[in-house]
Amino acid sequence: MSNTGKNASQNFTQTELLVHALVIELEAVQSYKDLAEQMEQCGNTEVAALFDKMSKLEAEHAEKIREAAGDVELTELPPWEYRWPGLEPPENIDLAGVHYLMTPHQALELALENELSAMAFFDAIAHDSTDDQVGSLAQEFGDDERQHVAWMKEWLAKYPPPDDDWDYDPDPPAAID
Amino acid sequence: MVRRMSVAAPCKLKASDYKSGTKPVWCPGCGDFHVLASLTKAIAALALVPENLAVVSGIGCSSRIPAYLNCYGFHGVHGRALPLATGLKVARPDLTVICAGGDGDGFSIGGNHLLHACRRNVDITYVVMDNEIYGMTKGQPSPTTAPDWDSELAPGGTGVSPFHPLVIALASGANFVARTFAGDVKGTTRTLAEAIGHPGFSFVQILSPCVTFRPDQREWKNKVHPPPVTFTTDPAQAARRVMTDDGFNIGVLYKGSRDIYGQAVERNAEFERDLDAEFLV
Amino acid sequence: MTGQPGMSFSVALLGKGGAGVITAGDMLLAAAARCGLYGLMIRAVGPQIRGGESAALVRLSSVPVECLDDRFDVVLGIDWKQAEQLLSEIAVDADSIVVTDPAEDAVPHSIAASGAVLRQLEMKELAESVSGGRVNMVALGYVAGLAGISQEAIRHAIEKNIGRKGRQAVDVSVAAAMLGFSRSQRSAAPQTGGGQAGNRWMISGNHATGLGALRGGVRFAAAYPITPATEILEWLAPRLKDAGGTLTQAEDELASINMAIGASYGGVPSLTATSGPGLSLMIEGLGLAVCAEIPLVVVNVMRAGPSTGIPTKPEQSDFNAAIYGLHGDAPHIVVAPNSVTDCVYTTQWAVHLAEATQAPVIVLSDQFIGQAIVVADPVPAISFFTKRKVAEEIPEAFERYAITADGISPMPLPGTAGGQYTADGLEHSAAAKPSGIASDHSAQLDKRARKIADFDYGQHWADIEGAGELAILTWGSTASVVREALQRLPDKVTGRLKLITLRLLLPVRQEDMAAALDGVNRLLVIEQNHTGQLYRFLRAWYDLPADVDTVHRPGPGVFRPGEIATRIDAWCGE
Repeated sequence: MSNTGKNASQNFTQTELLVHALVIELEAVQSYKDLAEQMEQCGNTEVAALFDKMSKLEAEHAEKIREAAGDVELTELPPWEYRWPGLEPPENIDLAGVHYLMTPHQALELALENELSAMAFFDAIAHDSTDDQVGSLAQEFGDDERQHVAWMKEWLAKYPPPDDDWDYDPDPPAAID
Repeated sequence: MVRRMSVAAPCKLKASDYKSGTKPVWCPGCGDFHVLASLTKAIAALALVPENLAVVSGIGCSSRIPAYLNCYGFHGVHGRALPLATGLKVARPDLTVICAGGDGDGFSIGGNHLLHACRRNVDITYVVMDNEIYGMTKGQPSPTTAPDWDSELAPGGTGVSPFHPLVIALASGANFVARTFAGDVKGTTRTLAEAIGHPGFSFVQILSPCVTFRPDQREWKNKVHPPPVTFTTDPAQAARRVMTDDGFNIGVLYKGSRDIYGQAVERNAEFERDLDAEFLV
Repeated sequence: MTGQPGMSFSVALLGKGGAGVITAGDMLLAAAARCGLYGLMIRAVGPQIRGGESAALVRLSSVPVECLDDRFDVVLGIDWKQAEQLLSEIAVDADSIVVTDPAEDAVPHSIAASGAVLRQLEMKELAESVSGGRVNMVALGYVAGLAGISQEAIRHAIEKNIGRKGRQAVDVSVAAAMLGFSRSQRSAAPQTGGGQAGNRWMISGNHATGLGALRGGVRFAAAYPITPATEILEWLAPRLKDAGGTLTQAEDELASINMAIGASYGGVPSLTATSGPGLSLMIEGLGLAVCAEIPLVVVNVMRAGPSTGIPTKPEQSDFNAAIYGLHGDAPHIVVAPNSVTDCVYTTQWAVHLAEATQAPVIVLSDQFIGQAIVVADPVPAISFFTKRKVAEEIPEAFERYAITADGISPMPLPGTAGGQYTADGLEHSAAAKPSGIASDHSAQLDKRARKIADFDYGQHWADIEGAGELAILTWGSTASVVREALQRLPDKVTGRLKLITLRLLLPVRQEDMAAALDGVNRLLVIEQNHTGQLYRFLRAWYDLPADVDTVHRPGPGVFRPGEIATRIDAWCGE
């Protein structure tokens, strides 16, 4: 899918950066939570637990951003007014990228991808911003994501990659209506 | 391009407050999860009050959506969501009424109602999650399925031309016509918010992949693209544009300004007495 | 009660399209009403929309009448072009007067052979003698004269009917009518002048149904045209607007019933009206209203079936469809008005029942009741305490489909904060969540059955007249015919007879019926359909006397009192 517009990463104000950073984390919290529920619903408890853990991890990040904001009031915008590099907030896991038989390894691969894109988002602002204060705050957020990236890689090493027939289901889907 | 961070009307409720907590029956990866997310974001952005919103549906995977929302809902019978929504909105013009469903529900068994709902132009928003398949009955071809798509019910394909919902809606008089892609939550949210806010009958086709029966639709995210031009107010131009595109243009196609059906009328306080008088000879 | 033989006067006006016999019949009825008479009119038509032969069958009486007589006192043919098909419904005998225009074809053979007295009336010539005069007005004046109706009443009826066309049009019509009047002489007609002008209603069953609906509080109707129900919807359209409500024309009956369900879900009492083929399309929607517990009234004006059948003729043959048509175990209510004027009351009651039980109610009217126009005493407004049990305050842990003692659960209306729920055709839990669990299914089935079975229907379930060890059980338009038939039988027969007219067809009222049949050792069931649908239903659901007989025949011809009297007399003598 093509981008809907160039991300003007050099023009973020500090409030804007904080709002975007917070929304990135909150969206991630919600989407990991949703995915955990979905996996729970279809019996993939292992991946559900993993997504749940990711959700909590992102919630910690969100809290940290709120702290960084101090007295600055962070008010959410209508969803279409955010400036993301793609269609969605960078850390927002693609709901369409999941499968009910997916393995923890695959789930972590998705998570890693998200952390990388979040990191890139903040790094770009840190690099491009003409405002030093904004630049250093973005740098800080980028470093936090770097930490997450390192963890994802660590966890990934613990789970074996999926077999070739990971998505094989001997039973047909159920007809329910 | 500097944009002021002017924060719009503060949203009283968050998108997640518009979820009922009931767990969807959908398969992980289903586009309908995205639509649920977009819809809750759109109604949160519009700051709609949950008790003044009603979401009405028929039968099918996507038609399960009312139960997942924190608002008034009606999960009716197959194909009849639009009449149900029409009756509700005409009787209760104070409510915001959204009708939702799939391509089988809306274009096949309910196809006739789509034509007349467009014509009538009641102030409702109709959201069709189009995955070109009957998912809940295990994958049969729908009116939007390509003619060569192989299935158990139609081995080798149906050989039948697909229905073109946007053109049909335009020709029938819909007052707002758009296509979005479920995976584009931001765009879908914006379009839904616009559609709900637009007076009259708004029709939004959302390409919503079925990962179980149409895994090929996972590729849609690489195929969709915004339209090369902005919306038009000329239905003929809109129809030409959509007839000649590749089916993956997303965005608002058409905005009309037709009169809305079913405006509130003034009650005659004497009507009961008049009734009795009418039969006297 | 109904008219005695000899006290009523039946007139048939026949003519091809453009002759205006229906308008003349209408005016005749209105003029009779002005003279204090009662009456009834039905329109008999051939297959053409325009131009075919049609007939106004008018019966006037000094007492209320709700059915046709066996024979006609006067048959006036403006012409006899395609009269044969209609004449099968118009019996004449040696006591009848047949009026014919010498300028037209001779009277049909069947009439000539009846021995009826033939009278020549130069209707065409007389009409042409008045500039702009019409032949139907000459006919009106003539038959009104035979019926003993005053010139003032004729003038008044014309004025009321065509007054909007202006003074001149009225004068021309009155002049033509007076020419006809002057040629006629008083016949053996009922006494006029007993009543007072202005204290009679002239109303059709379909309009009466609309009135009952409005009185009951209906404020939304969805409409798809179908003969013979359309007039209900056409009558309602402007009046609903007046009442602050709406009528929406739907694209088909699938849409109309779902629109009505949607409106009622929103808290507005709703109705739709149809006939057999439309009812079949609405059955799925009825099931939805049962499952989602949505109040709804569906008026089904029965016509001869199956399929398109005979759209302009009555038959009580949708009984089975109304009772058994729904799939699943789907408790609902079916009621039937038993006369034209009873449509007001029964429809209002239907709205009351629907709103009170949060369930669909089918009103089984029929083409005769629906399209007949009667002159009757005004139907007083009845007050039911019609109120839906609405959840206005939403408590913690509110459940839309809560299991209650009477099976009726408070219903939150959209707009009520905290009451958000999804109404569903899927089986659900008390908390309105979809459920396939056995205990939820049985609890909801029980609840939905209980609220219908245990509701207090009072005495309205049936009209019971007379007493004795013999009982006749009937319903709908047949009831008026049976009532009149009983009037004609000698006291030694009717003194032994009890008449039970069912108004509530579903749910069954076993205890009420047992009380009504107490001491009855023989029962006769009378209905107008080919298979005895009510009779078989009664045998399945009720404890009946050992000796049960049935009189049933299909339409299109309605029962006549003489025919039924003969059957009852024979049955009593068995």
